[in-house]
Amino acid sequence: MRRLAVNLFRSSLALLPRSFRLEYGQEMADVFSERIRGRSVWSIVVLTIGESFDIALVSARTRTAEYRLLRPTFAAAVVMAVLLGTKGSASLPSSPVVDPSVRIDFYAHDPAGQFTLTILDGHPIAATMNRVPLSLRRVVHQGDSIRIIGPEGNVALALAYYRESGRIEWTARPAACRSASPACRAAE
Amino acid sequence: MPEQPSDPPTPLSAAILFALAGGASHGYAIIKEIEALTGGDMVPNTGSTYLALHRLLEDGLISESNGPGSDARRRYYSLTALGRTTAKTEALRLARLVRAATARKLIPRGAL
Repeated sequence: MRRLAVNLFRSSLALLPRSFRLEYGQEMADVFSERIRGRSVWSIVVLTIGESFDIALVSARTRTAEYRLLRPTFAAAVVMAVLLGTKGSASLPSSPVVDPSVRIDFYAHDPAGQFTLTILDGHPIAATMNRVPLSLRRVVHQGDSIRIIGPEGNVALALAYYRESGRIEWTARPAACRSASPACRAAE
Repeated sequence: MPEQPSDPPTPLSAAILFALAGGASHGYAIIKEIEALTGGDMVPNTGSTYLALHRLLEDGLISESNGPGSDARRRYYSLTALGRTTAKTEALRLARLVRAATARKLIPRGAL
């Protein structure tokens, strides 16, 4: 019975967005398995039904959030940059198809790791650091400056974004910043 | 001074922050701790708990950390400085509400 319940729960995880499932699916299945340990058959049935409905609700909530972010149809420019030195910059590629004033997806590496920034109509709408999505509360945009706030309230990364020229500049973070230490502050 | 989120956390997120105030913990232990903290009034489902953990990670209120044990299968979570500040702010906000409810005799004597 226990194995059947775990298999049913695992099946319900297929409802979740792939990225969420890959990140937490195994852990969630382990937790569910622990929760049904030592329970009666009836209790396992009730819990499995409840947990599966909950997965469906979580799926709807995460997909709604993604849809809100992706709803506008727009042209997109993709900029990739790799930086191992101390000062980095990247310019948008010139293309008659791409309108850089609409959306920019910026991917970059420096010695401290990878980060991405998505800019829509001149404003940051999404960011990740080392593949972890960041809340927009941690992305501060003022004029030409975009700062990413670290978990300890420090400035983890500072970028200059010149909308007119489509140029993005930042000071490379040293490898010591991989650990996201609060002592490791970006040049402000 | 850490940046302070403007909106109060959801009840489940607040419960997770309170559960983690005692130290780093993993998903199953967080759920059991919330059950204990609320006297069984709140029994979070696994999916909702992980969605809340995901959002707390995104908001920088919690971070992954090394747990007290050596179980490599488990992922441990702990409060960041911003998360601890948010937990304290939320606790004060709730305490003020409870005080107001008590003053209006909405909470029977000895119910807490």
